Amino acid sequence: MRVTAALRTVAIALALTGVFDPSWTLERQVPVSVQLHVVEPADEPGVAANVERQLAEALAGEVVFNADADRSAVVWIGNRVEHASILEDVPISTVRLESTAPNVRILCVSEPAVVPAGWKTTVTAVIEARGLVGSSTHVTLEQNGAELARVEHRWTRDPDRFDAELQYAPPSGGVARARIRAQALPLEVTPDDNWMDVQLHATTRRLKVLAYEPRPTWATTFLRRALERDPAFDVSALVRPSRGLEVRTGSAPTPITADTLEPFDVVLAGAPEELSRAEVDALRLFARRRGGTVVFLPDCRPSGRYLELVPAQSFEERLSDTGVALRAGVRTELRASELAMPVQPSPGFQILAAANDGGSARGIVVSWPLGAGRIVFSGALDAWRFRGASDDGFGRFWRSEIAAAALIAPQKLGVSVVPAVVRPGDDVRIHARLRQTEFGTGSEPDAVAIPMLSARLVGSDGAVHPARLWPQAEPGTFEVHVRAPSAGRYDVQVKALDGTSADRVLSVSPDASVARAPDDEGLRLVASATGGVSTTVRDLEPLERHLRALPKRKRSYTHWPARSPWFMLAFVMTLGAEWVVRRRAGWR
Amino acid sequence: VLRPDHGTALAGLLAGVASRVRLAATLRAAAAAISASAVVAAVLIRVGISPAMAVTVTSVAAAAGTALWLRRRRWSWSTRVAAMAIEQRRPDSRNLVITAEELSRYADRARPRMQMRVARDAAALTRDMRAADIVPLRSPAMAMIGALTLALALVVLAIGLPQCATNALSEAIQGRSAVDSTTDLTIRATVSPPAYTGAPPQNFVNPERIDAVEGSQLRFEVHSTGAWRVRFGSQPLALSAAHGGAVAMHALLTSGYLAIEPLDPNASAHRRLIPVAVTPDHLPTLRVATPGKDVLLPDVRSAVGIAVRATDDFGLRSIELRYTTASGTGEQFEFKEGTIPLEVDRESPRSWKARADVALAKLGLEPGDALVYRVTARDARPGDLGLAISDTFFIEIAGPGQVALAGFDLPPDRERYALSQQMIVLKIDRLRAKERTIARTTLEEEAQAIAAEQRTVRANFVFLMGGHVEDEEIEAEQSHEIQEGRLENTARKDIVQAIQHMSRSELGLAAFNTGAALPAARAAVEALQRAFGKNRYILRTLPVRSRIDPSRRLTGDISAASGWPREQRPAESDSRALAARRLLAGLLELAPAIISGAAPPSALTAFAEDALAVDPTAEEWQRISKRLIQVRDAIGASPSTRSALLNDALAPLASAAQAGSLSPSPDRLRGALFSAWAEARRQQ
Repeated sequence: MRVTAALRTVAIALALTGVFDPSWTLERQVPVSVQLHVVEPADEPGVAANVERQLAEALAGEVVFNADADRSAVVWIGNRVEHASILEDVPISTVRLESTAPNVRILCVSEPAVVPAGWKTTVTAVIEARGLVGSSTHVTLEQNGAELARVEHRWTRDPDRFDAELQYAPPSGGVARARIRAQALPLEVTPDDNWMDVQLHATTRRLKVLAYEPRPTWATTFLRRALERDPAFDVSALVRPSRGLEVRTGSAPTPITADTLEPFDVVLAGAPEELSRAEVDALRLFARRRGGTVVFLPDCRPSGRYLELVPAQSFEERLSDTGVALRAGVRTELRASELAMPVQPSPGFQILAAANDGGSARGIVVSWPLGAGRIVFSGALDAWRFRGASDDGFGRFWRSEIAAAALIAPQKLGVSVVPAVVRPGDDVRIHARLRQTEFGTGSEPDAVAIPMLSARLVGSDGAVHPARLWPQAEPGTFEVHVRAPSAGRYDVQVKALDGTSADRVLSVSPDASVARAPDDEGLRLVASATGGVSTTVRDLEPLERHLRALPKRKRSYTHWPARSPWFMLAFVMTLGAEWVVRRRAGWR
Repeated sequence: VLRPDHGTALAGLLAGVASRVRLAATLRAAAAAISASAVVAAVLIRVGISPAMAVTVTSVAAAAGTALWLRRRRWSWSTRVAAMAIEQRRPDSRNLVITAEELSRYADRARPRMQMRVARDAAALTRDMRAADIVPLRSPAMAMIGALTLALALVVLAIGLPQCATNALSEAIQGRSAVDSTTDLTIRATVSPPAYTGAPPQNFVNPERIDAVEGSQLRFEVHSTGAWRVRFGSQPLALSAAHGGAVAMHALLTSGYLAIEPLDPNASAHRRLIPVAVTPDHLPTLRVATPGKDVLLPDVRSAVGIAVRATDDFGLRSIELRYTTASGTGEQFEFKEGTIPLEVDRESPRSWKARADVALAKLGLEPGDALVYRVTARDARPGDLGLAISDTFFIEIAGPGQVALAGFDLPPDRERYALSQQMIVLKIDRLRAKERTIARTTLEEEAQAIAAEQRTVRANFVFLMGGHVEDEEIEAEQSHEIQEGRLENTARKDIVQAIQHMSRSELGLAAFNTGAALPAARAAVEALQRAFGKNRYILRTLPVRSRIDPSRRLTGDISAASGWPREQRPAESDSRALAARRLLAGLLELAPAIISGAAPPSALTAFAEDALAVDPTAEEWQRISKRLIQVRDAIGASPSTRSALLNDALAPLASAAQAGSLSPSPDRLRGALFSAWAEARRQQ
């Protein structure tokens, strides 16, 4: 009887509980959720899986991997930065892969500079070898399967890196796809990373140079003649032999102003002490805004207004009976017997030709950046007298330097495509830069109006892929990342509203190589910027410490006991027991 | 016991010895005759007599001489000489054998018993002797063998069998190495050097390159089942059928290449290119070793020793010392020409030394006169083709008032020309006198030579005037300034006129018109005489530097001064580098097809020909061309082999394309900021 009553009471209590449905909330610590992300391309998937296993074992109970979307941290396993995978407010740690198996691989290839057809350009490839001490690797530059240049390197350390410099003179103008190949050695685990594609670009544009002499000078005359002999240069000249007289060659402008100098890449200023204030200002603007190079070629002690553009405190004169050898590069040598050496040049100067002054190199031909351009000062006052040397050091030096200056002088609109040889679907960065001379004037006094640019990829089959260029922080620069379209050759065209245009070639090919260089700087930057750590596969401890130190989450749990199936089961069991007891007692 | 047969045994021995003596003498005589006849035969062959004739004649002569000699010496192999030989062999016989031999011939000189006794003793003495021991034949036999060997060697050398064997071996090797496995084409070339060189013809089979002396005759045979054409560069060679093939002849005067092409366009892959390098026959080199400079002598009493050394690449033919004496004043010169015999020492056909002592007094020279001399030499070429002339030197006799130390050399900067306008007149006059009797080509050559001298004389007068006269007409028109006394040099006008006349004379000579040239040349002389009538004037006189006339300074009209556009210099390009770049670009474009084997052979042949055309004599371009042909011929090879062959061809081509090319510094090309940063790091 009492049992029955008790059971019934309990059942009633349970029923009442179910009706009221009581609840309470509790908080509890949960393991940190971390997402492991293998950055494409996964060079060694096995290594990535091994990293995950090691971390899971070391952090068991503390960290859960790839559990859910509510991740506290992300770990990249790989050697490259994947911009699309960067998340806000989530620390990203990076684990760089380092294989120990014997292998040679090309990490990266520098895009060779654009040179005139027939001039030498240098293709530099960074090559890494592991486990191959004592072996030698041949590195070749190939075009269409034909070998153009070759170097050999012997590996002496483990791991070892080698900057292979391959020189090649493109025989004709235009764009060509070339391949750097490190000949595979028998011990290597894979030959697939032994090659990389690069684009060679030779220009047929003639480099425009203006030789301006307020009075005739031998220094400029012989330099002008050296340039005129070379078909790569388009030389104009303006000489003022006397008041009111001008001897002109080519398309020399009159007067000398910033606007009239715009078509030129380089200006040679002879007898610079005779330059007027307006001419010096024009040259300053030519360098600063146009991005051109001004070469001052004095033939006497430097003086006059042009020294405003030459940041040296003073000049020390030196005379020699036989001439002083000026070292300029590896093979070129200038000579001069009258020297004007810049004293205490301002920081940022670059020595183009130096004299040996008591064991140290003293700059004689020196260059400074000025705005977007450069200023070159030649203190070799009578170098022209030694122009007949057997090695033609005078001509070779100046043609080489002036060509380099002209080639880096920006065009009205410059475009770069990086990388220029890609696989379909790869990320391609298109960068456009407007020269400052193309900026318009804004509505306010100090404002400038930058014309808008449009870009598109035009395939060889006529297909057009538009791209939206986004202005960047630096005025006049625009950029866009696009996915490489299907295989083919594309003309990347960028146009300004005023009709100025520029283009580059993008080669898309399924067999194009991919960059394999570990982006150490990028990985470290991503890690430090997001609050993660950057480490290598050999040393995971920093990562483990970092993941352990991540703030533990507390999860709130609200309990609804009446909603539990166990609660229903207890209620049914109570009722059932009460019924069984009553039946056995013969009650109804 | 005395028996008659004792004499018989001795007689046999004596006969045997006599026979061997005769044989030995015959062998020695034959050896001597063979040696002598071989020497004579070799000499005859070298002078051009056919080997068969030379050998026959000398052999008959040798045989006759030997027979005659043997006949004259037949007494020397009698039994008496044999007995003497035996006696020499056995001195202990004490003339017993000689006595026995004599008694055998003269039986009446002794009683029979005595004769038998002598015969018995002699037989006993010579019982163990053999004729071979007494007269050995080893020495004569060796002499005979030596003579035969010597004769054989001399004849072989004279005939040139080693050269023939070398050529044959070379042909065999060339034929083996250069045979084209893909065609039945066989090329035979025979290069016959000019006869004066004395060099034998050279034979080639399937040559890879032909070297020849300028003027050689090339005979070219093409043996194949197909039809072919042959070009020398762009010049087609006429082929005629002969010896089962096609034959072409070509005189090799310049370097080039032979292109052997099938007429069937489908077989163009078998086109063959053969570079031909023609070496010119250089003129003899003459060097006047002594005195080797101009000399000024105080008088004519001394003799001047002149020593000359002459060399030539193939051989010298003659050498002589020519002189011209110049005497007189002003333009009234008298010239005498002549030659002085040289004492020649021929060290070898290619190198001669010569010397002469020039007695100045015998040449009629007087104080103030001059002797101009030069040495001429000829090589073996016909005509004046091989005529070389040495530098011209002066021997000047000091004039009155002229101080000269003996042998003191003239200042080197003084011009050496003894030619004056008078000399030009003399030469034109001579040419005009004989122009009807000489060939037109000879007239043209001589007129051109005088025109060149006229140009030289005129150039010296222009130099004397202080520089180049751009427009002689204007210069002459402005001669009123001279008359106005603005210039101190009153002879200027006359010299300018003389220059004008010289120009006209030169024009006449250039047109081979001596009738027009002669009056102008004479007018020039007259103008010069007016200018320098009172002074002796020779062109090599030091020119007087023109002085700036202060009175003319700042006298121009400044308003007439104006600027002017300067004509731009055309850029210079290295034609070889350009050709290399063009070829390189073409090959790179074709590279995938070459490696896969799909490239048309004709395209590669065209590339090879273009490469050879750049410079057929340069080994570098021959190598490039050859490698391109190897690429073409590697039709059945694997892609890796073709790729390797292509790379072998590209390596020298890329090197030639980069010759002299510059490279802008990579650091500079990365921009000013990067350059500055790199420099700052370098300086740290």
